[in-house]
Parts: sequence; C-alpha cells; structure tokens
Amino acid sequence: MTYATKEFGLSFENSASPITSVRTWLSYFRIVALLSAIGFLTACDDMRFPRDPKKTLETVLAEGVMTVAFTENRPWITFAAEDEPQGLEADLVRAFAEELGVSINWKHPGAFAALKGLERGGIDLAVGGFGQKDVTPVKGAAPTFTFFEEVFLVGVRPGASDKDDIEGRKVYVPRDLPLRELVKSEGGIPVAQWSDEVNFAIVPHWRLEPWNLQPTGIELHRAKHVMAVQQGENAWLMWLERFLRREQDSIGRRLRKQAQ
Amino acid sequence: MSRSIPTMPDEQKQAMHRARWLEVLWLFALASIVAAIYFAVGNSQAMKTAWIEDMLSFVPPIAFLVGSWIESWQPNRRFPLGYIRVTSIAYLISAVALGGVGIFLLVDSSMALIKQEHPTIGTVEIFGTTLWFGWVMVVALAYSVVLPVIFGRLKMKPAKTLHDKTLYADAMMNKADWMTGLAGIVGILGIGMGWWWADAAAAIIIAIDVLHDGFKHTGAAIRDLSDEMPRTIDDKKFDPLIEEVQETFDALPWVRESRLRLREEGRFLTGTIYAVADMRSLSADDIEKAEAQVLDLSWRLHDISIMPRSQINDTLTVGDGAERSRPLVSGGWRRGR
Repeated sequence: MTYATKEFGLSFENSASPITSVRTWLSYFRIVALLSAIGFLTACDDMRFPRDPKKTLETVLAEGVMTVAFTENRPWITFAAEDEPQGLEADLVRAFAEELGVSINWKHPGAFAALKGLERGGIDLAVGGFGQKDVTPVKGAAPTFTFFEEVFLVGVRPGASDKDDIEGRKVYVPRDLPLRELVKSEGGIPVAQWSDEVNFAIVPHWRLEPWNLQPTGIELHRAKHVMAVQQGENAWLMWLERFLRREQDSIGRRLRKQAQ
Repeated sequence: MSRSIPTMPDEQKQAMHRARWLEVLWLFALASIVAAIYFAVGNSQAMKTAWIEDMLSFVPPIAFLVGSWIESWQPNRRFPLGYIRVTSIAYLISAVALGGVGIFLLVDSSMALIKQEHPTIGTVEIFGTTLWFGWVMVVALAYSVVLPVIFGRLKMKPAKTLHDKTLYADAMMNKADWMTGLAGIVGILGIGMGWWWADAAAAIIIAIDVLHDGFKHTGAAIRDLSDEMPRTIDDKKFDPLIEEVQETFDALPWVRESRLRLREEGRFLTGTIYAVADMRSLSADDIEKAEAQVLDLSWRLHDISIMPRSQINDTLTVGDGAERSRPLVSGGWRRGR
C-alpha cells in the first residue's frame, strides 16, 4: 500500500509507462473498494450509522423518555388545559414513542417557541401542523421530509352550475384559514358562514369527501406538513422519518375519520 | 471543428482535432456530473462546494474551445499578427475564474464551520426501504470522481503535444478531481459518524485545492502575458528550446555575439535575436537563411527576427553611476541617456 500512495502522490507527473498507469488505476480502485467496504459495513449496523452529534437518539433510548414541544393547530394538534394534546400529530407522536418503547414528556411553550426551543436544546421533537416553510427559516431546527401535502382548494356542491368560476360568488372560508385575501384575488366573495345559499367552500383536499363537495380546478395553497427536530441530529431524524414513511399513507384516511 | 493554424505540423493538427472532440465530450460528461450532484446536494457544505467546483470545470473546456477557434482566424488589417495570443488570454480567464471561486468557497465553508451549522441529512425511500440520504450523496460523489480522472488522462497527451496551457490546466484539474470527490465522501461519512464539523472541514480542503490551482495558473498566465521567457508546460523550468535556438544561432559562422529574446504567444513562441555580426560578408539572404534554420527547430517557433547590431549593451548607467540592466529592445537608444 505504501507504493500505491506514492503513485498517487505522483499522479500529476507524466504517465511514464503503461505499467505505471495500470498500477495507478489499480490503487485507485483499491481505495474506492475500501471506501465502499467501510460504507457497507457501517450501513449494516444501522443502529449506529448515521449518528447524532448531540446524541438525541441515544439519550432518548437510554432515559426512556422523549421531550415533545407542541403548539395548537387544528386538526393536527388540539389541546385542552391539563390534558394530553390530541389530534393527528399527537397520535403519530404517541405511536412513535410506543415503537421506541419510551414515554413522552409533553411541553407546551406557546406558538413558535416550540420551534425556537429546538435550538436551545432539551426538546427532541416539535409538532404543531408545521409546514416546511415554517421550519426551514428557524435556526437550529430541521424539518422532516414532507409526510403529508395538504392542498387547499375551492370545493363546490354537486349540481351547482359554473363549477370552475368563483367570480362574484360567495365562498365559505373557515375562520381558522388565512385564505380570505386569496379568495378575493380570485374574484370570490369570502363569507364566514356555511349556509344553503353558499355553493363554494375552501377546504383541504382530504375534507372534500366528508363534506360531500366536488373539487374545482381552483387551487389556493399547498402546505407541506413536516415535524421538526434539532438540526444535524441525523440518527434521530432517520428513525423518525422511517416511522413517518410507514404511516404517511394512512394520514388522509385518519384526517377524514377525525373530521367526522 | 478541424480548422487549425496552417503552420502546425500534421501531428499537432490531429492532436488539436482530438482535443476539441475530447473537450466537447467532456462538456456532456460534466453536465451529467453536475446534474447528479445537484440532485444529491442536500444540506452538505462539502457537496455544495464540490458542486460549485464542478460547475467551474465548465470554464476551461469552453475557454479552450472558443480560444482554439478564434486562434484559427485569418490575420487581417486590424490584427496583422493573427490571433495566436488568444490561447494565453483563454488561459488567464480560466485561471482567474478558478481563483475567484476558490476564495468564495473558502469563505463560504469557513462560515459554515464558524457558525457551527450542523448539517442535517434526512432519508430517502428507495424500493420501499428507508435509506439515509448520505449514501446517495456518496454514490453521486463517487460518480463525479471516475469520469474526470479518465478524461484528465486522455487530455494530458494532446495538451503536451499542442503545448496548450488551458488544456493542460484543465487536464490537471480533472486529474486532481478524485481528491475533491474523496474529500467530499469523507465529509459525508464524517457527518454520519456524528462529527458535524467533518463536512465543513472537507469543504475547506476542497476550497483550498481550488484556490491553490487558481493562484498557480493565474500567476503563470500573467507571467506569460508579461513576456516571460518561455517555460515548460508544467512551469517548472525554462523551455529547453531557448537553449537550442541560442546554440543553433551561435554556431553560424558570422555570429560574434548574440542575445535572445523570446516570448510565448499562446502555444507559439516569437522573438528576436540580437547579433553582433561580421558585417563585411553578411547579406540579407544570410539573415533570412539563419531565421529559417532557427524556425526549423520546432513547430512552436512562429516568428523569429534577427537584428544585427554594432554592439549589444544590456546595462545602462544611471545618474549616481550605478549600473542597471535595461530591457532588450528592438530599436536604438536615445543619445541623451
């Protein structure tokens, strides 16, 4: 191996003879082979690779408890005082904790403090119906992959005429959705009451079916739902993402069920 | 595609043809590498740095292709000497681009280290298995290593045959690319080991490598354009052609004393020989013959003029009586000094 490295060091020089260059190539492939061997060995032992710089996964497993900060955001997280948070993400977190065999220490630091808390440490996971755009700008926080993409669109009662045009029509916008301005810019008139004289409503796509609405071609907003962990805790993130990937197909169904 | 300088021998013309095809193929290969890295870049500083370095690798081949095309343009009233110097300019452009980006990369990677940014690398789902995305990055980097090393080797030969410094610098960069890729891979594996700084450290190593190349080649390009005496293509010593020309010329029977001034103009050499000659028998014909004899030494010698002088004086006395060397100029000297 010593001569091999020497060959490498000199590889800038003329490729003197065919034999020398073959040797250089051999030593090159040897290094690549060595690297891949290291790679596959470490890959097999996935408990240890990748690892966390701040040892979140190790600590959670060793202490048997994970600290989860949450903010309320229906229907993802709902919270009544002195009670455990409920909602889809709360259920997901409980299932994840059960899989790890650890208990959950819920923390309720208030809006956005949940994300900021990740950087200070002491929080392993932050949930609250976060979109990717909410998490990315927060220093010290890292989003998971998008486990659910929510499309907000204009739904219409079946049988209504002029389905793809809301120009001058009343459109029901639920109070908790900040989409009134978008409806106005599309020419619709946002109303806060869902009554018989209103044919259009802004809904996330998964709610069309339970509300017995049909989709129109008008899409207002897309939210990429993520959870957030501390930046760089790659082992922890990998375990969480592996769990979320298994669950992601059932999320639409669960949301519908919860809505009923 | 195959236009080249008419004064080049067939071997050089063929090498030029080959080099241009190689560079065109390389541009396609490079595009595939840039695409592969782009899709795998994620949050890694080292990957970002390697990607920018790969983007930068477009400059020398394009400079070579454009330069060697312009070089073959016909001389005209505006450019009576032709366009042979464009190769030196192409070299300078490539070198400056390299150095500039080297500085940028160094600052950017150092900031990542200073700010203690912990690179987050998530997962990807491949065939139903959740895989750490770092492995995808490693594969992309490994791919980015193989092709440049092959192309670097292939380009080296025409670069030497053509004495083309742009092509040579390009080939060297490609050959050195395996180190960049390796540093990147080590950085990613380091992140996997939980060493958040490994990635930024690898990026800094790559950046220093780019910066070093940039400085080296910018220096060489500036010296070429400052009429440095010709150097070998690796810039390690003076070109042996200088001595050959000197010896060939000094062997002529009518030469008493001579000084040689050569400069590089792209791949070609031009220059002047100042000679104290035995004027009684010297004719214009003798001078032309001698010039032809010198030009026959190498295809690279493009234009040599012989300048007979009564004496060669390469020092001058300044006001305080000290002697300073003065430039070898073609014309006479003002009498006032």
